[in-house]
Amino acid sequence: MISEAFEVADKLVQSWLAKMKLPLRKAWAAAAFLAIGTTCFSIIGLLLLAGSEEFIPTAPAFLGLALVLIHFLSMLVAITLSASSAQDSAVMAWWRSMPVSDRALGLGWSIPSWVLTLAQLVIVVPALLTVFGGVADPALIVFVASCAVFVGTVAGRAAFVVARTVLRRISVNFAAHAQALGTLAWVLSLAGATEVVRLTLTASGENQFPLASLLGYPVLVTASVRHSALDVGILVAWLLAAAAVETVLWRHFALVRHDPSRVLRLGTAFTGKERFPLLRLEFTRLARRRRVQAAVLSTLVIQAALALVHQNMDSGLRASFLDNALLVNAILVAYAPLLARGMSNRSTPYARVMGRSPGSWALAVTFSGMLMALFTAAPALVFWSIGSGNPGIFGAGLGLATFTGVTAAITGFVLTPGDETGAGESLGMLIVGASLFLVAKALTSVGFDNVLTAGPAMGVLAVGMICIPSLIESFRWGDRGTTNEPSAAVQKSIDLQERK
Amino acid sequence: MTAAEGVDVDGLVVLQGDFVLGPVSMRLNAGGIHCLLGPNGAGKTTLIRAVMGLQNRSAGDIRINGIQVAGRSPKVLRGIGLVPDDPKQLLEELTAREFWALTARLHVDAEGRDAALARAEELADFLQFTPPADTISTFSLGMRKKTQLVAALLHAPKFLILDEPRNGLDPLGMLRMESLLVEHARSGATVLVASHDLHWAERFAGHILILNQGLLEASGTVAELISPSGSLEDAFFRIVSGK
Repeated sequence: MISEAFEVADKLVQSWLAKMKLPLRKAWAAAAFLAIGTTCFSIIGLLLLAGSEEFIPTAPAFLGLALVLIHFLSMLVAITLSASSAQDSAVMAWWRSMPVSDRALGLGWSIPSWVLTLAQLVIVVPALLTVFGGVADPALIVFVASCAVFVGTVAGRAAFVVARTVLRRISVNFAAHAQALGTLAWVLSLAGATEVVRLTLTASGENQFPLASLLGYPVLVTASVRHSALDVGILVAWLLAAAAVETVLWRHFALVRHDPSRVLRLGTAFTGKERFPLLRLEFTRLARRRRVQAAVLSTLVIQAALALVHQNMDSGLRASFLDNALLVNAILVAYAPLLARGMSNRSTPYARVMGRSPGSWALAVTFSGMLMALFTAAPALVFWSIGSGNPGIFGAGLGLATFTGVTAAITGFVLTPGDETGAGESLGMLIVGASLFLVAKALTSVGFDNVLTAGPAMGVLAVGMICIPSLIESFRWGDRGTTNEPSAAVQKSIDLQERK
Repeated sequence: MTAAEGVDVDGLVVLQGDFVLGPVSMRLNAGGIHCLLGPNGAGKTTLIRAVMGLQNRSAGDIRINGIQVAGRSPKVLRGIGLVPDDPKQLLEELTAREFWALTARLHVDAEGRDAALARAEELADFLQFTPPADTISTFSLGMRKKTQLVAALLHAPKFLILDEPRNGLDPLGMLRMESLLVEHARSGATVLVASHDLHWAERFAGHILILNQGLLEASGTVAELISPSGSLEDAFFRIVSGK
């Protein structure tokens, strides 16, 4: 069974690498580079932090946050890998028709996530020991970090197994929900983990998280600082209820198979007689995609949860809360632009068959994804702007969403996610999230006070990048300026034919 | 050949959303070529998946060569060769030879693998298919079908299932495939083919099964199903229209 499981894992990884057009040797080099880079980045970043005066008194709190982050990352790895394995794909159908036991299949599919978990541990523990070794017991750090990583992985996988079982019982297509469930599981898991850390710190006499350093951390870290277990409990219960509502809504509107009149109508049907037909066509295709619909619905649910927290929050904490909420909102809405390119065949997109120029088609794809992202982002931004009486929030949120949207579109044109493995989607969302945090962090460290002031600048930066997908496609298809001159290779072939 | 050889399906019922397959009872004799016909959505692929143990069933009993099929059993699957209707249902990232090697490793014990791979090469030669060094993702539909056909036959399965096997094959490829199926059936295997090609089924299959709206409406030889002056096509339309 073990050898069969490794065979399954080997072919799974091979298929992911092939989808990304990445040869094995380059993949190993990239993984090693990423691992070493991440370790160095973490150690340097934490050492710089440790050099500041206020570090020593807050060190245990930072250690707590670091462990929460480890848990978050391992959970994300487990969920994305579980999501990809849960796709009802032709590849999975092939494996299931082979004489391999269910146990070997399950084990084989989970091996990559355990390998990644171990790699994560190898990266994280040295960084923690370097910085916190003098503050806390090293053995305790290793023990707690290992627990955080493994509990995160186990929790992530368990969440997916439970969700898949429940959805199959009620005949819902699990693959369509994987992204939405992943997001919800991520939020719920993080809420639980932060609550545990907060309670531990409270019990040990540390009274609060260092809020100013939370840029880039999910909003529930801030929300849980209200020091009321009841509030966090209510929030978690609310999110669970919201997940249930989302599932019901989704089942009602999008999965009604035998009565087309009941299927959700978005009023965007492509007719070919309207203006901007290519843009309308791409938007219609995107809006009718189940995965995108599920992602939009789950984003709206999470926005509602964030709005609820915002409404009930002490006024002193609202500014810090909004920074994080805007970042979360911007990441969530990036899913549609990320998938937009993958809707068309990688080697022969329909636009080429129709004789459209790759540049104009790529622009239509990018704009359709952006429109979807901005429509999804808008409700929460309007609510927060009105609720806070600060119209700047709308501009900042729009800027951030534009940035993640354009970054996602570019990533989509490079990776072409949306295929059966789901690996491209997970990788794409990680790239988008990391880009957002890094650029936001860079801007706030060069003069912008916070995310609210950096947001519009990021939006302007993104608008400048919006033609990159067109350039990528034009380059791919050799459409760099119109010319009737044959290339050197073609000319050589013509010459040879003529000589014959 | 013993009476236990072949496939027995007794009172099979599968519920899939609003669709109900069955109850279906049928006997597929070993050494025969059985053709499963039916309109789109009749339940052909569901029936095939259920027989293989890949589809949960609500009732009924299935035996392949005397072994009861209970769920997805690797023991049963080892004796089955499948050519699915979906040309994507293979590992596109492998080359054809890597794919066959993997299939051989999964189906055949270590001592028989070399023979299975040699057989794969013979089958490919017979189908006039020279597998390119490139991965399957670059293959045409016909090349994928030939890759699947070789993979399904290389371990000489006792039960061979083909879902729309003619799709994408060139005329010579179709002829060669027919020869392979006939030869395989003669060796004592059970061959089940799902198809929409009525003329081909009339000419080729010894036993016809017609599935309509989840029910097995007719089962018998071509001679049993058609009137003296009619054709299988007439009989098929008469049966599925309920006249």
